[in-house]
Amino acid sequence: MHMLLFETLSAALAAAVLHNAVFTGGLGITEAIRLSAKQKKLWISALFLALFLQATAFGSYYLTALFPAAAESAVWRFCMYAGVLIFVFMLSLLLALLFHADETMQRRMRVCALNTLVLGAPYLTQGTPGSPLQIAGTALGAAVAFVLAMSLLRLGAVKLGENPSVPPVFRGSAALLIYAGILALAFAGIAGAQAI
Amino acid sequence: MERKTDPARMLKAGIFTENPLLIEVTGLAPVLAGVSTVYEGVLLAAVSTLQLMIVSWLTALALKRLPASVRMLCYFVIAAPITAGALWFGGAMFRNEAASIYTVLPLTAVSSLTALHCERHMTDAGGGEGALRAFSSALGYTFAVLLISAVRELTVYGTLAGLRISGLAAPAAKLPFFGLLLMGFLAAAINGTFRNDLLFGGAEKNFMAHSVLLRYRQAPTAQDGSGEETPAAEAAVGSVPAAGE
Repeated sequence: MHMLLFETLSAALAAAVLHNAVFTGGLGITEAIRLSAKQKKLWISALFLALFLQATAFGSYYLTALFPAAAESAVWRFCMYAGVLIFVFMLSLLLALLFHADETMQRRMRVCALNTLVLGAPYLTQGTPGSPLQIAGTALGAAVAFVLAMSLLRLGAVKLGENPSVPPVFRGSAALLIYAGILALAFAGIAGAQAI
Repeated sequence: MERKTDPARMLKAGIFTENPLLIEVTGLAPVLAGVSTVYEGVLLAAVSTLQLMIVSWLTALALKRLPASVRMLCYFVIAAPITAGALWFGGAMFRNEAASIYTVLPLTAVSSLTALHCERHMTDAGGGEGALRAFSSALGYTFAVLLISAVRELTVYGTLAGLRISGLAAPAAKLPFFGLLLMGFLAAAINGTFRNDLLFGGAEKNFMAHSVLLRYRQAPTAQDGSGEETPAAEAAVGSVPAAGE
């Protein structure tokens, strides 16, 4: 039992910090920047992301087991993953309708569902992790990584916006991109400069 | 007085003052995740342009009548076969670059470039204006991607489109941090060159309404001190889906 928990948590920790998909892989950084400007309840996004990632990764995992030959090809792997994601997206729309979710919640679900493909890109290139526990841990870690990135970007962007010393030509996207670059450099240092 | 739909103005906006990658900060992931040679840059720009033009045209034609949630799914459903075709073609044509092609191209299927452009410009645009807007955005994205991929290839491998230029090589520049820093300085260069259009001139309002950084730029500063958000500004932020995007 302890070993199973350790396997899940170590996969989650690796995905959240050591191989933070946003900063060491550059995955989903547009969305992290955009969401950090307006999201208040980040934990809800994290929850949705974790659920969508898990559903899509498990779907792809079992499809890969069913059609191992097809999974050898990058094109088929993409089609498989995209098909599962479309199914998950439609399921989320159905659930939102059934539970009468408000427009904000529906928009949040849409955003998280589509970001599943971006954050799940390592699954597309390297295949899904070896065991279901690793999949669960990695999906959880990727969601935490995304929220961590949003929080760090939000903190810095607010400080940059308040700082009158930033030269006019660097205001806006320039300062924020350079700030994100410095954060990415720090995470690359933690990861040992290995790109995802 | 310049008209909003003036073709020259729209082209200038798409390439410089509203550059989708550098100023509006959309479509970053594919560039950062794997574009480090000119060939990869060309492939990414070609696939992104194709997707943007097709999805924009279909949105102006029919998709704009659908609810936003269904429209978002449609963008993906239309873009996915284009991506799959590009994966097959790219993998067959550029065998040496296959690994990075398989990393970069799937990301274009949910590119914020296409979805944001369509949500922002195409839901109330006619066919002609929409096509010109899509073309100018694609041109701006291509310009930025090619510039970044050329600098990265030169830095990472010391080559340009495969030709040896320098003996120096810095493999770490392949990581996303270098791409982000490069984009930041390019954005500053655009700000400096078009400062009359962007920061100090009459087009500031237009730029602000289109900027992802609207909220940040409206935070209290020594210059304005208010930090108040106007209803129009709030609507501009709220109306644009954050991702998928």
